[in-house]
Amino acid sequence: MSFLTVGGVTKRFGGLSANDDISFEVARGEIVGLIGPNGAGKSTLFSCIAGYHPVTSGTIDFDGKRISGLPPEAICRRGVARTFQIARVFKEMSVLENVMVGAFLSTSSRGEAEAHARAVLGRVGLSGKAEAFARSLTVSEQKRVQLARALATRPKLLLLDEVMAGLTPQETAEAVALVRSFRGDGITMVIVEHVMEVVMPISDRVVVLDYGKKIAEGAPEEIVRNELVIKAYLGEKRGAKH
Amino acid sequence: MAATAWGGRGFRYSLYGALFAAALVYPFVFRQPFPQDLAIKIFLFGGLASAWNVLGGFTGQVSLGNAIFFGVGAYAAAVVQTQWGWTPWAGVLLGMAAAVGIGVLIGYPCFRLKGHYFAMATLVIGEVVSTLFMNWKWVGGAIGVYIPIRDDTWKYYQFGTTKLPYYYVMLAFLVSALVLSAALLRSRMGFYFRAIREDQDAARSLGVPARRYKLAAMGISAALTSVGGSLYAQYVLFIDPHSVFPMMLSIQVVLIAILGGVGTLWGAVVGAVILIPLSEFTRIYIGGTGSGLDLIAYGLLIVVISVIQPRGILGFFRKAGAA
Repeated sequence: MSFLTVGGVTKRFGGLSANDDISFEVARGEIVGLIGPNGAGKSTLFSCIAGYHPVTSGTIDFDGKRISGLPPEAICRRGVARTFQIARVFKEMSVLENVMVGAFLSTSSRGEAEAHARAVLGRVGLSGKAEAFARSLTVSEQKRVQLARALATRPKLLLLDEVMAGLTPQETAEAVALVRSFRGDGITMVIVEHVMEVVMPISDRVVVLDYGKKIAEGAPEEIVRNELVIKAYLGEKRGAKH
Repeated sequence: MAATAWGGRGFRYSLYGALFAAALVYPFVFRQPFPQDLAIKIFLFGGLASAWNVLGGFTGQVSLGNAIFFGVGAYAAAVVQTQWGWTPWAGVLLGMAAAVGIGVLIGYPCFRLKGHYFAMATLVIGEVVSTLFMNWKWVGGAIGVYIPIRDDTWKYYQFGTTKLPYYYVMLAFLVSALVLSAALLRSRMGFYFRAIREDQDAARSLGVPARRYKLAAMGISAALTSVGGSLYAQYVLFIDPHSVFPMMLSIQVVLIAILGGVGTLWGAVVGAVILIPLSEFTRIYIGGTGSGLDLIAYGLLIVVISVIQPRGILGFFRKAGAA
């Protein structure tokens, strides 16, 4: 049975269709990569799923219930957590406090929230930075803070928006290992990346967007051979050769 | 949990204890009315700035209309006496309830606005409320309300022969505001307030119902400010719209909080300890009718502080994590 169902979602900003009739399903425990060139509508779709943008038409169901139309905080309470493409940490709070905000979703006890937050920080390798202000961290560390914060809400579905963009190869490898480890916790994931090399090895399935439309869907090895996808990324073959 | 530059918890608590003890004996050392009056004003404004800080500092919703709640509290304490012969303490409770109601009424539409627009909206509403009271005959209109003078009494909270009761009640007001703020900062609500201030969208993505928490911050700020207004009315025994709804009061509490350190626990106190005496002394020594030199000195200090330490005076002592 499908865990997340995106059913014919269209999102228009004025005359521009950022998402045009997009449908796909994600099964429980699956990792689905959502790829496409810049401006394909990946982040917009994430924002629709997470409740930041009301959909213009179409429906989104999660865990058997309709979530389209709910505000972001209600969707988070249902078990959907997200990260933002540009790390949006709480700058004037410590790293630990950032993660505690997430942890407070499931407890009102400060002690419990702190213990849970410290455990999550250990998991993402930020224990040493717990007391530092979030603003003093590097971009890569801020991205991990975001991830930890989202994880601390104990999500069932995690929407990761370019968590690996801008990282060094070493950092990317660590991030990939980390994301893989979440699967062991039974967390379903949808991962947006525009770097194909990152998404392919960790995804069970890949959905490809271009100009707001879904142009392909399938296993990673099929997607890399798909004519439409190659065209979307590289343009016409002749043009790509210069 | 968070590191501070001032050493451990034991040291901090002994410092608080020493400060509190000093505040308790102060009126026995300074027996003249002026220093006692000065301390009462410091406590009042420290408490008001602390109340503003819950909304403006912790939650980041800069209100320029907190005089509304001050005035509502002042009028509630006064009017229950003149109209119904009740004790002003009943007015304190009524004022708090009215202030929370008005705060929610203002907050509900205005929290759709962000940043400067929220500040502008509260500023304008403050002026509207002031004008309404100016024209509301039942509460004395522009003439205001004289609270009938009585002999010294706790029931009607009036003391003509001594300032000590006013002193200690105002101290209790400030201490309550600080204790409440400290408890808030340690609680889930305080974490959610600060998360909303830092990034409302990111906070909502973590399950924080931002609108409801902003209304809660508004309610707490309004109720506390209203108590300050009620106590002030009993202290001066005469109120009118000019004295309890002035825009200057709204701005002054913001300045005190910002000068001391916005969003911090002690900023309001530090700011009041510096700005209130400064404003009193400059008025006495260089004030004079119409010269406005006192306001220039006042403004100059704020400019200097915001240039050298935008985080406020407490910013000099801050290391990491501390709220």
